[in-house]
Amino acid sequence: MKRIYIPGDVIDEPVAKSLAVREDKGKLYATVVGTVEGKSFIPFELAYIPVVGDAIVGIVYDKKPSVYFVDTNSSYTGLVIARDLRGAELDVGDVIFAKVKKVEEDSIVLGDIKILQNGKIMSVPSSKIPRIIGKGASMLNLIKDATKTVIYVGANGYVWIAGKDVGKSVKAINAIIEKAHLSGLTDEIKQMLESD
Amino acid sequence: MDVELFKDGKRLDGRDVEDLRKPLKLEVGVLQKANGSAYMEWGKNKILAGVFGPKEAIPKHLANPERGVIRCIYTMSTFAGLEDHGRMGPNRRSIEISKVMREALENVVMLEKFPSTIIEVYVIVLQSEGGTRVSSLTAAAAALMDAGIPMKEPIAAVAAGKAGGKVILDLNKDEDNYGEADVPMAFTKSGDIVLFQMDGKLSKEELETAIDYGWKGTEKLFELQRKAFEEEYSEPLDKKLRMVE
Repeated sequence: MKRIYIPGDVIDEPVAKSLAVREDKGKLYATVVGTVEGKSFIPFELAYIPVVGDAIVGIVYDKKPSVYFVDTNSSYTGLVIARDLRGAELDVGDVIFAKVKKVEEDSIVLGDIKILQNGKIMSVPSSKIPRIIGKGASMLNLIKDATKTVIYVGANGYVWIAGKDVGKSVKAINAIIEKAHLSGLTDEIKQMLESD
Repeated sequence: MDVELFKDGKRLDGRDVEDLRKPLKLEVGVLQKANGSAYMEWGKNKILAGVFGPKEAIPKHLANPERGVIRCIYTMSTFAGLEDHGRMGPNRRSIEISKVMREALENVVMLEKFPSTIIEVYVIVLQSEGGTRVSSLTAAAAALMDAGIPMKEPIAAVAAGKAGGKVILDLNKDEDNYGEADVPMAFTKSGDIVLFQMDGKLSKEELETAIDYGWKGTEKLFELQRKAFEEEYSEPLDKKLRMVE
């Protein structure tokens, strides 16, 4: 079994500093529960903090003449400036896939808006997103191909799914979340998708 | 009232002065909808803690643009104790305990990373047998770790005190009610004291012994917190069935 670090544990490996790793007097400490894989510290669970360039999935929850307000599954309110849409309009309840353009005190400005229609939204812990995508999107493509679905994964933990077998891909993603911290994940998901 | 709290050199429940109550159990990830949660059994104490956030601070005037804030609410259920507690709402005692717990947690949670947000910590005492504030704090710290909220280090809490003329660790209800002093305290893993209250009288030497016992007791609790996470992540998580809209 891999060693599990809890907050305050010294990390001896040279991992990169992040929200989950803090440095004090030349030593690295974990700040959340997680494990070390290669050169990086993998948190099992971590609150989402937006960074410029993140691709996220959001839900429009309010609109005003010049701005739309978007639920981003975090403490930040997403803002879509109406003129950035070049004439297109959004409605309350619309799901969008967007890039984070600017992070402000308690809001984020979104750009490159893509409206997603006729799908389902799933909420997952944002720390599991890298596992759902996999190396070079291998895991995501595996699920997409096996279930004939279109999937948009937001760094904020919202996953939008549409297509033929939505139920099966939801099952696969749930399995990834439950087993993300164990080894042999890809094979297991492959087997699961090939059966039934 | 004069009560015999020691019998043949042992405490009423058969413990030595430095023993913690049993059973001592901690489980994390027990609630489905909370971001983080923990359930603790400590002697006859049964504590449930749930954590939400960081999320938008509402009402807005609570928001601090420089650091996040913690909202901590401790409640004792109506059926928690021997006496009838009546309704569960906030009262003098629960407001005090919520405050000291919040202040203890503010020392370790990295609030500067979450400006303008609020982190909510809710604790319910399902059953009580003395020392609920320390067991609540130990469970709350585990729930915060389970929620993935960055913390500098864990904290754990235990009460020491004096009963029947001896300094003892982890008072139960009788020792608390009929003893001479009760000193709940919380430590960070590096040894800083983040909660310290005292009810009753102790000499300087007795207090030093009490703190020494307290530190030894919390070391066991830190191990317990670590074990809880090792157990949680040694097998597939069964806690979370994802919501689908």
